[in-house]
Parts: sequence; C-alpha cells; structure tokens
Amino acid sequence: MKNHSAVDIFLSFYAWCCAFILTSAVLTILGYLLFHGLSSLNLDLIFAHTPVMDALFLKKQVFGGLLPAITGTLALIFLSMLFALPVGIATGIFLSEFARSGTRKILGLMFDIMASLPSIVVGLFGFAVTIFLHQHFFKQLYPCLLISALCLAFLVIPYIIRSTQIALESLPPQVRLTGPALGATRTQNLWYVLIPMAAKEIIGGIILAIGRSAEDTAVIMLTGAVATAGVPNSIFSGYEALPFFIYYTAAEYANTSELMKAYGAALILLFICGGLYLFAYWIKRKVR
Amino acid sequence: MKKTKIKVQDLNFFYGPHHILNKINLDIPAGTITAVSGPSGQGKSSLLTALNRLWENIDGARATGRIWIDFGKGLEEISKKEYNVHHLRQKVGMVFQMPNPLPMSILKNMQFPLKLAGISKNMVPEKIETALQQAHLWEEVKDRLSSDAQMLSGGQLQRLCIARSLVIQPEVLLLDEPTASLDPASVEKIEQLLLELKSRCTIVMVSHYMDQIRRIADRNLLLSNGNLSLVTTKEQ
Repeated sequence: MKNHSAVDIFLSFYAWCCAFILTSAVLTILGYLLFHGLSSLNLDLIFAHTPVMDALFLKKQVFGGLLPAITGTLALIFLSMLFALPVGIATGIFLSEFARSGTRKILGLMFDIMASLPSIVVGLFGFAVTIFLHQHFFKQLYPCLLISALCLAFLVIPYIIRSTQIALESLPPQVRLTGPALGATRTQNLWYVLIPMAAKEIIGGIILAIGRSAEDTAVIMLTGAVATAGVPNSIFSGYEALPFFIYYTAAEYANTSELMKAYGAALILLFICGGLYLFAYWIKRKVR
Repeated sequence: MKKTKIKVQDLNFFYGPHHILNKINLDIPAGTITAVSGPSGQGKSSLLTALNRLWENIDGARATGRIWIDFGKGLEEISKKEYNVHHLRQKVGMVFQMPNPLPMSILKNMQFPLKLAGISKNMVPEKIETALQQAHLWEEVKDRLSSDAQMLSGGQLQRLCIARSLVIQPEVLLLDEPTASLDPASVEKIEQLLLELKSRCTIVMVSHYMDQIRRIADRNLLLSNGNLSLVTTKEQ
C-alpha cells in the first residue's frame, strides 16, 4: 500500500513537471518572439513606404514590406483548406460510418503513411509533378500558389481524415442510436446528430491542419514561394509567404534590422495562427 | 380482454456468437404497461431493440423470428425486411436509460422528430406544446425553449426525451430503465407520466426496481437465461 502511494506521488510529480516544462517552453517562445519582434511591429514593416490605402486597394505594389507575404500566406491557407476540408472530412466520415472493417484497416494504414511523409518529400513530389505537367501538357504551368496549396492540402488531409474519423467513432453507442430511434435515416442521423456531436473534435483537427498549412516552409519553397512577387494576383503566379520570408531572412540577413524584420514576421504569423484559432473556436461555440 | 398490440413469435437474438434471447413468444395487450425485469446481461434491452428493429443499427447484433404490431389496421409484420423501418420507429418511440438530448436547444430537440416525419411547419408549435405538457415539462421550459437542452436537470432531460418521443404520437413507447439515473422526485414524476400515457400508448419498460414495477406495471415479465416468463399481472 505504501509503495503504491509512492508511485502515485512520483507519477503525479512527473506529470506536473512535464506540464510545467511544456508550458514554460511555450511561454518562453512567445516571450522571446514578443521581446524581439514587438519593437519592429509597425506599419512600415507591413507596407514599407507605400501609402496604406494605396497598398490595401492594390493601387500600388508593396516592395520591402510584409503585405505580399501576409496575403500570400492567407491565400495559401484558404486555398489549401478549400481543397483539403471536403476531401478530408468526407473520407473521415466514410472510414467511420461506411467502410467495412478490412477497407478501414487498409485505408487507415495508407493515411497513416501519408501523415508520416516528410513535408520536403511532398514538396519535391509537387515540384516533380509540376515539371512533368509543364513538359507534357501545360507549357504555362510553373511552380505557383495553386501547386503549393494542392501540396499543402495533400500534407494536411491525413490530419483531417483521422480527426474526423476518431471524433465520429468515439461517440457513445447510445448517441449513435438517438437519431435512428426517432426514425432518422443513416444520412439524417449523420447530418443532424453525429456530425454536430463530433464537431468540436473535427474542428480541433481542422485547427491543427490550418496551423500546419500556415507554417510549412519545405513544401512552399519547392512549389512556388519566391522572395519578391508582390501581392498574388493569380493562383498561377509565384507568391510570397511569411514562413519562407522568415526562413530566408534568418538564413541570409545582412544586418540586425533585417533580422528584426524576421522576428516581426514571425510575430505576425503567430497572430494569424492565433486569429484563425480564435475564429475556429468561435465557430466551435456557434456549432455547440 | 384487451386487443393484442404486439405479437412476438420465436424471437432469437444474437450478439456476435452469443445467443441472447432464445425463441421468445410474447403477446402484449394494447394500452398496458409491460415491465421486463431480470438480471443484467440477459437481453432485456435487446428485446426492446427487436421491437423497433434498432438492433439493425448495432454492430454485431442479429435477430430472427417474427414480430407483428397493430397500428390500427390489424397486426402488421414489422420484422419483414421490406417493412419501412423509419416509419416503424416513428410509431414505436424509444427512450434510453441515460437521457440523450441532441446538442441543440430544447425547441430544436422537439422539432427534430417532426422534421424527420415531414410534419408541416404550422402544426409544429402546437404539437411541441402538447408533447411537453404531456411530459409535465411545459411549465418548466416554456420561457426558455431556445436554451441549450443540456442545461436542464437529469429528470427534466429524461422528460424532454420522453416528450421528444411523444411529439410524433407513437403508438408504442419502449423505455430502457428510464428512471435508473434519476432522483426520487423525478422518478415519481416519470411514473405518473407513464400511468397517464398508457391510455393512448402501449408501454414496454425495462426496470430493475420491483417497487416501481408493482406501482405502475400491468404485467411483469422475467427474462432469465434467454427465456421469458410471465411473473405477475396487475390482477394477481
């Protein structure tokens, strides 16, 4: 009995330590970014010397500011989610509700392998496919926003599939029977009962996918992100993105002010992710 | 002698390799409360799911045998594969042991079965009020119909679930230990409600509580080792 409580105390202490270390790590990263980035956060960082209204209404291009990278990142997130969400959620629903046990196991294994692919491999694959399409079918196609978004969608689809599948499968059996007991068809039960009940967890998976889309650098540096492109005006053009900007500035900065700009960009990326998280949280509450 | 509402013939029920119910034969008279009691794991809930074919939505469950229910046009065989199961479940309501409100408002919970049954929108408010009144819940929720259903107490939630079943006017109501998770005051309200309902609804109820069975049931059936036996009737 005494040994048992010693183990309990140790496990409890260990769990507290882990939680403390992780929370401290997050707070340290946030504090570090705020300490270095906050001083460089100003309108010049985003718009450089371009008048704000002219930049926002696309009357003048912004050179030297982060507006093109911010719009590029937002466009990338929007497009990749546009491709990934319908496919990911539908596949998750199929695996949970319609697939037979054998199919579920085989497809589940495939999606787990897909989830474990390094993003550089996905980027390389996207680049190779673009070159192939360029050489054989579409001469005008080069690495661009569309290709990056498709590759990012491919990267995050397994997260969305798994979170949807697990969210639906973990609903208690009695909840699954609520709709049918009232005369609901399978589709009605899915639409009116199961998906709303699982929405919280599904949205959790989507937040994870959005975060991954926003921060991934390896995929976009091979499939369309460039150092200077201006605000993207077509899905077939090259574009700027915050993670890519942070990466190459941190790697090749010439002076401290350039490095400070990278910290500012990192802070903006953090705000974008935080903003999207709050938006998703608001939707989650609305759904509830 | 009351008319037979439900007739069960040679009902066998299986969960995977386990034979749960063994050739059950049963007649349930209309307008009565029939209690099914017995030790845990003997198939009481399975018997209920056979009566509205809900077992078809449960992985690994399988039933054989024949079941008829009289919905006013004589006994119809509801166990036939071609019988419309969604229509059946609108006529045979079911309430579970744990209240299972949908993640939406009280009003939307009540509208849900009406929407499934395709009932015209102008009939909806009246039907909802009637069902909530039958469940003795109207006075408690009439001013907060748009509130989240989860905010109700356990007893209120269970009465909401009963009202949700009643809103489409089922002819049979199946109750799987409906008072198991409730306090004595809520139990009393639900027992009173069931006694009022039996004139327009045949009730089959699983219960572990002999006191409750004595108070409200017209007949008590005992399920043991997959076999059913009639223990008592009200007359006895």
